Amino acid sequence: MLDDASDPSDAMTLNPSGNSVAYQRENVAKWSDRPFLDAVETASRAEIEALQEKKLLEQLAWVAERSAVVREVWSAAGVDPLSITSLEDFKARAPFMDKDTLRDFRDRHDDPFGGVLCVDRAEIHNIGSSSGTTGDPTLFAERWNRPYEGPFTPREYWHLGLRPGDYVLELSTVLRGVAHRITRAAGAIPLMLNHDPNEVEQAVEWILKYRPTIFFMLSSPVIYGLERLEREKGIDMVDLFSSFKACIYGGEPIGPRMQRTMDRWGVKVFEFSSLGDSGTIWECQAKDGFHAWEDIAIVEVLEPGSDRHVADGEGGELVVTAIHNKTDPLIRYRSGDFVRYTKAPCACGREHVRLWLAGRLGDEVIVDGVSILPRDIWTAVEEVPETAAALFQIIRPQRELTELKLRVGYDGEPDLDDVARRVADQVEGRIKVRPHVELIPNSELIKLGPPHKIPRVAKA
Amino acid sequence: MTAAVLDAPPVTSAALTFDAPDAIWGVGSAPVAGGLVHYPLSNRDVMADVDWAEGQLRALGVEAGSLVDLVHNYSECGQFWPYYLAGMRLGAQVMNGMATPWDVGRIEMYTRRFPLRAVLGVSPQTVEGMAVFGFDAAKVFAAVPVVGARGAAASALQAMKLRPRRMTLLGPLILIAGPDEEAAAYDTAEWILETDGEGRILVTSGPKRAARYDRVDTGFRGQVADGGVKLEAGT
Ligand SMILES: [Zn+2]
Repeated sequence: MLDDASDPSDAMTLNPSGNSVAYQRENVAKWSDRPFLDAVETASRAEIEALQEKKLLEQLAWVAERSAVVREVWSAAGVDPLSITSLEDFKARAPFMDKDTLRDFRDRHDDPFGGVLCVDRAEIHNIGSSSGTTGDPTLFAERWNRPYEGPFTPREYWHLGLRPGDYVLELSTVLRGVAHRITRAAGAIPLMLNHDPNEVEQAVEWILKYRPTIFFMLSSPVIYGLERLEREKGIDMVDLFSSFKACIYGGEPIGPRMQRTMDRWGVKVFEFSSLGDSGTIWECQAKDGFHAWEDIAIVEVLEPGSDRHVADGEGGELVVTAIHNKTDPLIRYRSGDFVRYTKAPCACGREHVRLWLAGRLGDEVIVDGVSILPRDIWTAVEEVPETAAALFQIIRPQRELTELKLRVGYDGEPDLDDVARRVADQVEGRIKVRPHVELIPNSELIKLGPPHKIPRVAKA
Repeated sequence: MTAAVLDAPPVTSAALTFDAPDAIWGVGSAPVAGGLVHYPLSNRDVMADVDWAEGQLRALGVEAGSLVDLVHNYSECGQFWPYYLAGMRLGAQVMNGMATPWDVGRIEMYTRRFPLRAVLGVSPQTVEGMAVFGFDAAKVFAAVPVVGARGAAASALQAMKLRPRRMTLLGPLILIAGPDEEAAAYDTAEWILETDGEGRILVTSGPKRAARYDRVDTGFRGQVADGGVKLEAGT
């Protein structure tokens, strides 16, 4: 299991990959021909929930003593964390926290971690952060001798076909955590390049040379870069992608046109997304939802603004409780992400909860009473050839607007008035709201944010 | 164009002897005169570079409890990763950010929220990005005792009355020169630097390294003597 550390000194010592020597030894012992890395992946619902309850009660005892923000929030709600007796009891009585709770605590106490840090600062190895596209970045304290506390785990790679000795093409960013640590934990060799659409030509060369198994990661800007290369250099994209067992796509949803492009290239694409700042969720081979690891987090889906759980198969706000992370755990954290969920068994053989993403609550705009999310705009923008890369932003000075304003990236040197009119036609045809369209070159739009995703909502 | 410094290494042993010194840790890339080359680093290479980086960081006053922000892009992990592990070995906490204009907000955030000992790797794009996104670089870095800036970023910060160390990615090496030092030390146990007749600095890898650099033109000119490199301005 995750917490076994046979030799305490090995558990504290980092190997050249930045993982604990003990953890790496455990990992090596797991490598075999089985399809799953960890036995807990195929646990039944009953086993998962029994494990969750045990880990939850331990976690509550831990945070009651160490998490300043948990103590404050729970005390204000009049609930003693130590009085919680079961998973059900927790879901009925535990108070919530959200990003504002942490920001507020941070500002009142001058604590950069917002009160979540449960260990002495000297025990931390790395302090990563989110990209901060919506305000001051969220901090993530990481102890690198604690496996499975980072943004993802070797389980995902193993299930998607990575095996020790394989190469992983990493077109990555330096944000939270360092991706090559996970690649190394999985026994593979990282090929490290920038996540930059202007540097994909290098990636092409490396792919042809090393023939990697996993591509981490694709995004709309990278696909845009590859499409240009295909057009201008005539690269055989089917051959290029032939060695990959899985290409990981993240940052944002895949639009229908981009899906068609990847289908044409034969890309075996698997998406991942955030699990409310407590890790990530990944598609499995069955490609029927994103799995969250329930031995790492408790996932709840609630009606927005209420504490009522929605039924299996229904949509609501994602609420997450970290039960493995002992460094900076979030407890009953309202993520602001809108998801649908099921706990039904998946065709891949696992019963860990699956989620489908519907969008971020904070991205919604209301124009004359009509609710609009970025995904509603996506297909329309993709349908106009000059803007087909779908690099666009909704201008959202506040949630309710009288006019929908879009900033849309274009390629080439088209007649801009004509393109703006056609984009507006497409959008109006789909959502019955005619937008004002501002056009800027794709290359300029890409500079506005982190390279793996365009901030889909901009204040101005 | 990129050229391989070593062909794809054999990987059969990597799986079974994962932490073995000669197992390949990863493939990084290095800017040289001919463009980017990619090169493998073994576990041994990483640990040798950690030993060197530890001395460099200690000389910058990094110790247990220090906070160090490393500013680099992902393709530079081969050069910067040893600085993470070296910082951790000294008991420091390491944060990171990218050497791109859009990521300056995170660098600014770290300097505002933490008493940093060092920010290493500040690039010309960082300094430009600060201006674009409305940050005053002089203010952002004023309270940081050690700022390592690359190329034009060093002179830009000097012009703001700061005293940055000059950092250079000399192919696979990181050089750090003090504000008053003409030359930067390099790890003579791992690398051989020399100049050709025209002052070009050439790099050759030590015999134990997984990558074979054989008098590769780094794209810099200068002088090499006594384990130190003095770069010619403007190269
Ligand atoms: Zn599945």
